Amino acid sequence: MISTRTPVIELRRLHRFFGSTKAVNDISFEVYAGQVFGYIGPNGAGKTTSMRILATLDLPTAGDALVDGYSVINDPDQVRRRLGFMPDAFGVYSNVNCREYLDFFARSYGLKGDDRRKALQETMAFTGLDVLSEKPISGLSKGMKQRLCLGRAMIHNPSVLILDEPAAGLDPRARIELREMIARLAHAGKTVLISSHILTELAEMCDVVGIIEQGQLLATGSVADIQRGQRSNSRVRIRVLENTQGLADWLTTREVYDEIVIDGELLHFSHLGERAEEAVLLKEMIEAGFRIAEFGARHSTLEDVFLNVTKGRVQ
Amino acid sequence: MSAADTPASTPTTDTDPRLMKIDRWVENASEYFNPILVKETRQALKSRQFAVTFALVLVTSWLWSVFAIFINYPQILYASAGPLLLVGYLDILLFPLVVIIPFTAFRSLAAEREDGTFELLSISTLNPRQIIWGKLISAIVQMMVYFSAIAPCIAFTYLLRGIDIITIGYALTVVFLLSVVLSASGLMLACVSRKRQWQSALSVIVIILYLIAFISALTACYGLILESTEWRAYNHPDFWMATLMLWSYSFSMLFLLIELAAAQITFESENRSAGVRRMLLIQHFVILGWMIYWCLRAPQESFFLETCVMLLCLTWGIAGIFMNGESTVLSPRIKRSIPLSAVERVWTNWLLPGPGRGYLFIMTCLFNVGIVSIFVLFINSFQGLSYSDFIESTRYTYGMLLYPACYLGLGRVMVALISKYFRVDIYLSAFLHFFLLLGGMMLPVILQIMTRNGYSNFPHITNPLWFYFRGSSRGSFLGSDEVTLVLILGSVAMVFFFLVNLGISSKELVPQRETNTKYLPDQAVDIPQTIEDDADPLA
Repeated sequence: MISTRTPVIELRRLHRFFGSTKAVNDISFEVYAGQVFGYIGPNGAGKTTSMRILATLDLPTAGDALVDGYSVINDPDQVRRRLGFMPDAFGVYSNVNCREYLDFFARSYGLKGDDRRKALQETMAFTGLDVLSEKPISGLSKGMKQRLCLGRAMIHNPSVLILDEPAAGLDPRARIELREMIARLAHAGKTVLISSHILTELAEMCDVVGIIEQGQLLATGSVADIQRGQRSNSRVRIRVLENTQGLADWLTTREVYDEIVIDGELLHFSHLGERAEEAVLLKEMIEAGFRIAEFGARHSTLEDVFLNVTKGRVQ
Repeated sequence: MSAADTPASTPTTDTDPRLMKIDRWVENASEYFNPILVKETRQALKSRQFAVTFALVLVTSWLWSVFAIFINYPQILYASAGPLLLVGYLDILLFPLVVIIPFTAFRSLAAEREDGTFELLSISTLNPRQIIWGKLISAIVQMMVYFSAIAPCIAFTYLLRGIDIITIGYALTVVFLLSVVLSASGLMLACVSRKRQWQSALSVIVIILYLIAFISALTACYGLILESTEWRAYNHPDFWMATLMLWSYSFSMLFLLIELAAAQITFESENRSAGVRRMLLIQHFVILGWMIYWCLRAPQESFFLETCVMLLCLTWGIAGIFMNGESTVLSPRIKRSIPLSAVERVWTNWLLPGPGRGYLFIMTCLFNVGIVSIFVLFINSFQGLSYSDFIESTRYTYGMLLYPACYLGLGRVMVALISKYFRVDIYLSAFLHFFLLLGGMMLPVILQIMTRNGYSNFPHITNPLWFYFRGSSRGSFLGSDEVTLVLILGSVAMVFFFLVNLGISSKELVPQRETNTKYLPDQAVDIPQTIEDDADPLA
């Protein structure tokens, strides 16, 4: 991370306690302009609580959270101008259609005249709701409601978007479309903080992830950075035509290979180094005279990282 | 995000350019209104409940017209049938205005808080006052629609004998004002709790209150328009001054209710007390102003003075039981708003939240009431008020003021002690004060029952109602030893609690201005005190 840049989102030793429950316990991280930050953790880990604090819906017990340098405690009004929040569950008004719903929030954010009309048109076009503008909200599908809520969050063109479980309950197509929309937002320079349980999708769209459990941030950084911090980056499988034990002994002499297991002709081990080293390793094994019939590596995914980092504890 | 090159068109029906023009004009004009008003009007126009109620009002008023004409024919052509028809129309109007609209306003805000839409609203740039005003103005628009529905019928009553335009206008204005104040009270009550079970309980309480108000209004309408007509002294200036007094008090109450509602939905780190205290102070001076006016106008009538002092005692007593439960710690945001100059701080300190400051604020106001009352009585003594009346009124006024001063002083000490072990919020504080007052009222009765010595006034000196009602009936009571005892013991207790509270609140009374806006790691330890440890909002 480049330290000279000013973070757009900054959590500074954030705490939020509910009685004896430490929902958020000393969390600090920074998110920079244009980044998509994936906030992952099991249910009850403190993701929603910290997001609500950032959205100025709740106050921290201690510490502070800043958006564009404005404190959620001291300058909530400034934070609200710069931030769009999409909660995991949201209510809708009865007897209101999509256009009226977005129009109401555009007005609530102080947009007037052509600015309001333009924001309305752009948002509806972006979310694909323009064809449903006159449809009552109560008749929308879950996916369309999520789009509407995303539209509401971005109607005032905020620089920061906080999306709490936006993909929850969506079908695969709606998830893909939502992912594309978030990618476009990031491309447009928005800073996005997103929480989700669908880790494969987060891995694809996030520049940085933070793993939280029991209110504490266990790891933060790019997926690759976190993987490097783990015990293994990948699990390698080799089929050797002969001298499997010899290859195992040969690998043991090298420090970056671990958890070596022999299974007949197959040999499994964990690789602690960079991926490029695996190509070098294959070349060296062949040069050393081992008859390699098969070489494959399964790199750890965000799910593996998540499972390694978290312990599955709940408060 | 894709940029739009062409301006968005407002969806309208097909076509007619004139309609499009009007539609665009209306849309542009609507930008000058509160967004909530626009949204709620759109919702109301599509709402089945509104359509049904409106149709019912319309049909019922027509039916009443036909029925009233039928039963009064042919006397209606020459007899005074106007008042009867007007009462009927007002009764029809009262149900939507006193029950339906205020309850709809209550539910409208309560439902936003239950459904989670309020959170979306609260993170927009609308401030809490705009939200409350938006809801209230929406209610007023609905009132106007109901008024317009019944307007032809009301106009019809004017054509009949026995009723004049001033009475019609006066009655409609009072009904309107009542509906607005009740709607504001509904909004205030909707902000009390976010919890569903409390909202359900409040819904029942609110509907009962509105039904009581409805029945009272029906009775008042019948009595004031059909039976007691002597109040219609339109040629007498006192009638209009009394009207002005009623309206000024109603408006101060309306704005106070709005401030109370807005304070409850204001972000926790902001100063939620300033607006409420400012409005309380305005109401205080409105009442004092009218007290001075009527006392100087009728110097031998102590009724106005005593009623106003009683009203002020009640107002400050109710305000105090909540203020005593405020948090003692100021958020960094509020501390940052404390002015640099000492002169400015003298004023702003009263408006900062906190039980110590609240208690002192109330004591100052009660002191102010006492001084003004004695001054007015002193002036009255030159205008013909007898010496004995002067002494009696002074004793009564001073006694009335002692009760809130003593109970709030004791309550504040009690809350300060309890909050060392439990978290006391404004509602718990109100409950504690209520039980304290109940104890003060019930204890004498229990003591008398236990001792079986027959009735005696002395044990009742802790009961404010006993003092207020016995005092208002005059006789020899105000010169009695019991009253002397109330004044002596009350004064001692008031001074004692005042000094104790000064000691308890010494730190709170001189708040330090927050100058450092940057984060310091040590603040992680300091900040927890500022934030109340409330229930999990996600639960």
